Amino acid sequence: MMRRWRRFALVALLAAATAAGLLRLRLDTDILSLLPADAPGVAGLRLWQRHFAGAQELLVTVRGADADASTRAAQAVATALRARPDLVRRALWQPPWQEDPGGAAKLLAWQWLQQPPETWAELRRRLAPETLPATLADARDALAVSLSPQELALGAYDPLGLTRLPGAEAADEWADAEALFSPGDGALRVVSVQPAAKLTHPRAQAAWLAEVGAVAGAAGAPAVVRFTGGPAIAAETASGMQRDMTGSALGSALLVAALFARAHRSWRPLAWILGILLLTLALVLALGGALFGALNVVSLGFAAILFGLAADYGLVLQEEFHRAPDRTATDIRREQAPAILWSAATTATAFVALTLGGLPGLTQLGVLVGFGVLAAAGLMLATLGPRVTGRRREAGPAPEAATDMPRPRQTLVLTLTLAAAAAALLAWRPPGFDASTEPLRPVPSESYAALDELQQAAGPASGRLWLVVSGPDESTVAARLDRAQPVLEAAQARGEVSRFILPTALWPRPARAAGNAPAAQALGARREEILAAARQTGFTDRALLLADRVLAAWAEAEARPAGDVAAWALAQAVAHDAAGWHALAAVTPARPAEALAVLTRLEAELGAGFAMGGWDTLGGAMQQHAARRVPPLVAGIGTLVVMALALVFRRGREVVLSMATLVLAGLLLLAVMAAAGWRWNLMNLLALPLLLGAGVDYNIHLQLALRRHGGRWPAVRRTTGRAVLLCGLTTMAGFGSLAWSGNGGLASMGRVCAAGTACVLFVSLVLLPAWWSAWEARTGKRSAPGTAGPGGVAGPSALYGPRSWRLATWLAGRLPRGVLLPAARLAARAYAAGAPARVRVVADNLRPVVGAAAAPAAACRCFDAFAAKLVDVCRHEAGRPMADRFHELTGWEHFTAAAARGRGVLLVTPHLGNWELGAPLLAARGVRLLVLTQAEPGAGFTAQRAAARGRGGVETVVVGGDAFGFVEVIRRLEAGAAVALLVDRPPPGTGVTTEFFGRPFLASAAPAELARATGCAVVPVVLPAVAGGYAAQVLPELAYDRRVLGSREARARFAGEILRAFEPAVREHPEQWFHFVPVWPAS
Amino acid sequence: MVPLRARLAGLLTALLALAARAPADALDDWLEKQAEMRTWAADFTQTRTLPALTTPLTTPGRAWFAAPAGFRWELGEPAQTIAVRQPERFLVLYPRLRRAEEYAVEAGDGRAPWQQTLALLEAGFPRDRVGLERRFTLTGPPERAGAGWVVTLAPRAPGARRFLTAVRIEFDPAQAGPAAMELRFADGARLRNDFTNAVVNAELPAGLLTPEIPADFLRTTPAAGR
Repeated sequence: MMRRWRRFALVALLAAATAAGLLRLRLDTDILSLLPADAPGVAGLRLWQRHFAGAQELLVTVRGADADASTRAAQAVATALRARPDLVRRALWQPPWQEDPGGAAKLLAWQWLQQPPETWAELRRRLAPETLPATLADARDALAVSLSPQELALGAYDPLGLTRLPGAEAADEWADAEALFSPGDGALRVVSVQPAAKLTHPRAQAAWLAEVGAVAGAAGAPAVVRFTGGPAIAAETASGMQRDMTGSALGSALLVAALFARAHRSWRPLAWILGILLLTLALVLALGGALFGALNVVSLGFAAILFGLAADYGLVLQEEFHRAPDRTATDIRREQAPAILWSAATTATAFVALTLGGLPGLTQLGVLVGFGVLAAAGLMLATLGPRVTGRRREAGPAPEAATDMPRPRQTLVLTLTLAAAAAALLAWRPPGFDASTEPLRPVPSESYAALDELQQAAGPASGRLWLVVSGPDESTVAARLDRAQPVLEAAQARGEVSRFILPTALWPRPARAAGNAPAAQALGARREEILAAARQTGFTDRALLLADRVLAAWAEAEARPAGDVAAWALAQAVAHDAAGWHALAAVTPARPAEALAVLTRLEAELGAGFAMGGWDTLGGAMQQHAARRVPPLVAGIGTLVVMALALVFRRGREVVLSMATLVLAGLLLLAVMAAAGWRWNLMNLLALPLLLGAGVDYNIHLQLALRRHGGRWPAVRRTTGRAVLLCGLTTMAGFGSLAWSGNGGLASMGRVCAAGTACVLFVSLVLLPAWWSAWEARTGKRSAPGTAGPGGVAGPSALYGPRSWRLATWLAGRLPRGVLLPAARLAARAYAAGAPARVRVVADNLRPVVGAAAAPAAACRCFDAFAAKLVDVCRHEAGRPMADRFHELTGWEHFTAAAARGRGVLLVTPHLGNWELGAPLLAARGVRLLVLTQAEPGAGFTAQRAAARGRGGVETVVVGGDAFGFVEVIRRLEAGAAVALLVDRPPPGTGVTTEFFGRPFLASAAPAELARATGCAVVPVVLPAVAGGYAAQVLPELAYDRRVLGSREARARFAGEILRAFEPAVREHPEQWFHFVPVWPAS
Repeated sequence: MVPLRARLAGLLTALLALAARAPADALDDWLEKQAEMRTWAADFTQTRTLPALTTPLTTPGRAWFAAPAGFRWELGEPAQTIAVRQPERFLVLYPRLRRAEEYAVEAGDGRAPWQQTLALLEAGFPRDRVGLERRFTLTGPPERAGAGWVVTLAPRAPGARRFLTAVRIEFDPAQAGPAAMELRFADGARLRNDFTNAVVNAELPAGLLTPEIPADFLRTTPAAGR
């Protein structure tokens, strides 16, 4: 009861944490959130975007039939929007001072107050009663001879020169502002719109945009009205993200469901797996909310990827539950858990390693998918079971047609052909690299299209850079602005910078303003006098409007400029938030192509408090970033994957085959990209580590299955191959559904990953099995025809090889048994401790013999017993006498009787006790024995062992190594020789399914075949270890009717009888039944 | 029978029509003369009528032109403003202020409004009708103005139109070079040059169109980086 409550509390806690995480979740629509913070220019652009680019400013572009029509339409749009104060706080279609000269004058008056005292002294001197006439006359003369359009335009209305603020090219700035509203030739106009209220939620932005769009569209007609800027881009991006979440994730889930339904035609497990996937999705979203708060546009693609990957674990388990109806769910889970957890861990590692890429979008994606696959693997293992998936007894294994087997020669030709074709295609048209930020944008995007049109109208890229100067207070920023001036002037002198504008004249300096206020008030008090002097010089009231307003403002000594003009102008260059103050400057490089170098150098020279950025430099910065981060990232993930593979396989060649699979798949992917005309970009480049991690799963599953089934591909194909195919297809569905993502980069990544998965799948399922078989055949190392157990253990330990055997024999020849035995036991226990998977394999092998409860302990004893066996075998091969080790010989009369018939004696024995010592025992009794063995692993090992036997007068025939070996064996038996053969672990592909301890078991077919061929006596023998030595037990001869053995079924029955003759001995000495690879066939 | 008086009237009309030059012909004749012109030099009086000033500003000056697009303007005596059009730049010197402004000249008419406006200083020296109509729209046929003709042009470039609404060129079809030129600005300001003492195809002094900028001048490039 207590346990139930605890579980309930745990679930409730988890649900509450999930809900809290989900509530915290927001969408981050900013494209700059996707870029690495440490790339040159990104930090500056982010600051610029946050504080100055008008994240809340909607830009309405208006294009009419001609410039005049555009102007009229822009004015109409602004007027219509101003009539809706519920929607719009401000709508500007031209620089605000053109509509409100008074506001401009107030701003100018305030700007003057921020100037240094010496500037005021100069102004007071110019406007002093005695110099004023000359100042005005100079202004009048300048109008007569100036050819500068700006001077003519401004000077005529500024006889006092008030717009010529020191430290800023005021006229230039004002002309720039003009270009904001009418870029280029004026055919395109811009209306700047500020929302009535701050819009934070994307849905609110979308609704507001729709209303504004309706008003503007109607007012601007027939001109073409489009929308861009912060709210438009955010609303569009957010809707794209929501579409991605629902569309691609749903699409992925549907594809997974369709594939599952097609493969299994069963709805209950499908519903369960989908339920787990949805639960995982909720958990991951909650984690995203808790960890990141806001999920960006790229990371939302995780859902589709997660569905594709996580479904695999459910599918594999489902397959296993169906294939092994007799086994308990716990057994199957225990058997599958290592493969699934390894697979999940490898995949999670690859995805989490994306954090090293330095792209925030992919960092989120990597963490979310990494956590998601681990959570899904755990949930699938914990909750999927026969009650959910149902049981289905499969039909027996289909006969293995010759065409089902891998064909190494044809596969080699196919491999080389594909590699050559891919290489040729790549040499002809390699996929290029798109370094621009274009792939990060939403596609198709109306707001970005409008932005592009705006930028195109403004002219070719100038490489303009923004310089954001930040500080905790106004005076720090002011000091930094002053510090920037000489640095930028030096850059200009070096020819690196053609122009720069520092917002010195706009920057608030309260201390100066207070100090200048008396002088300003004094000038304001002389307003009428100054204006009268100007009129006397010939200036009209129209020309004096600005001077009049500025002098009036000074007279009133306004501390802060009010009105739209000031608000708009200050927003262009001055910002402050809780973190401090920020000033915006602009720097134009002399050569746009060198903008990135200029940015890097200036940032280094300016130091802390300065951040530069520019859209034109982003491409180059991203290329630098990719060149710096991606190769080590891929290499790092590759190393991790190789290490993981080494841990899983513990065999070098399978690691090599895995890597070969990935390399060829990578080559094919490049060829596909070349053929399709796809290019690499910042996003899809990171598909490489993803594919490396995800693709390696298939290799693990398939190669472990090949071991498990002794290299029999048809058996692997029907089980694991089918599951891997289904997994691959669901993964492709997950990635492929991103191809329709609203984000260009994500879509390209989805395409590349789907194509890459297809390539990995093709190589893994079509080529890898043949490679594996060819290599196994070449080295002569084939796994036993059993079932791979936990950890994919299927073959003998890597320690079992010629070198270690030579060393052991050498030691055995020199050290006393009393030393060797404890050392060997210690080594065996150490090995067992370091190879728990191997111990579990032994336990699994013994489970049908001793029962599930006793199996683990029996397995541990098995390692001890094997150590003792090895000591004696090595001592024997080292030439030490063994006769004294035998304390008991029973049933010798069965052998002598059988030998007396003269038709040969086939001594059969299982891997029980110390069967190797039977040969010297027989030799001591004058019997010359012929031993049939399988090839030993490693070059020369088989010959080494045969030579050792030969020294004791025992001949060896390697079964499978020589096609005529069996002919020789038959000949010898017919001549009356004694032949020894192990029967409980036949070579791959040669066993027959019989029953042993009431379960299906693969027995050697060789004794029955030899009996049929020769009519020899079949005599079972066991040599178990007993207290203080060994017992040799010759069991009664197994009778058979040679004529009946003509049928295959009869031979199989006889093979079963032979095997079952050993059941009592194995039951009596289970810890001496030495099988360290799985022996019970796959269900 | 047609009455004699009617026959005489018809003959008179035909003779008058032959005697009178068609307006379009007058412009084409002048453009032909312009095409033959290699150099041109004249004195001028510039009158700036600005809404900001109660009285017009009048300044004497001298102008030189060299085909196809080189010219030099000097405003004031002594010159207070010198504007020189060179193939790759437009140079404005202010000797009294010791200041030099350089504007890069792009191919074509450029995009910036200032550049389009500066290009209008060449408006008085079209070489052919195609070139003229590439930059301007004729607001109507040339009209008689005293002994000569006047044609009113509107800039085609919208950027230029924001500054300048019209250009009036007064010419004599029999003589190369403009007789007078008036620029009308958007704010109502007018800038008129009346040319006198014109000399056509005379050799121009060496270095006239490639002046050295004195070392003590402050050199600026006001529109760079736009």
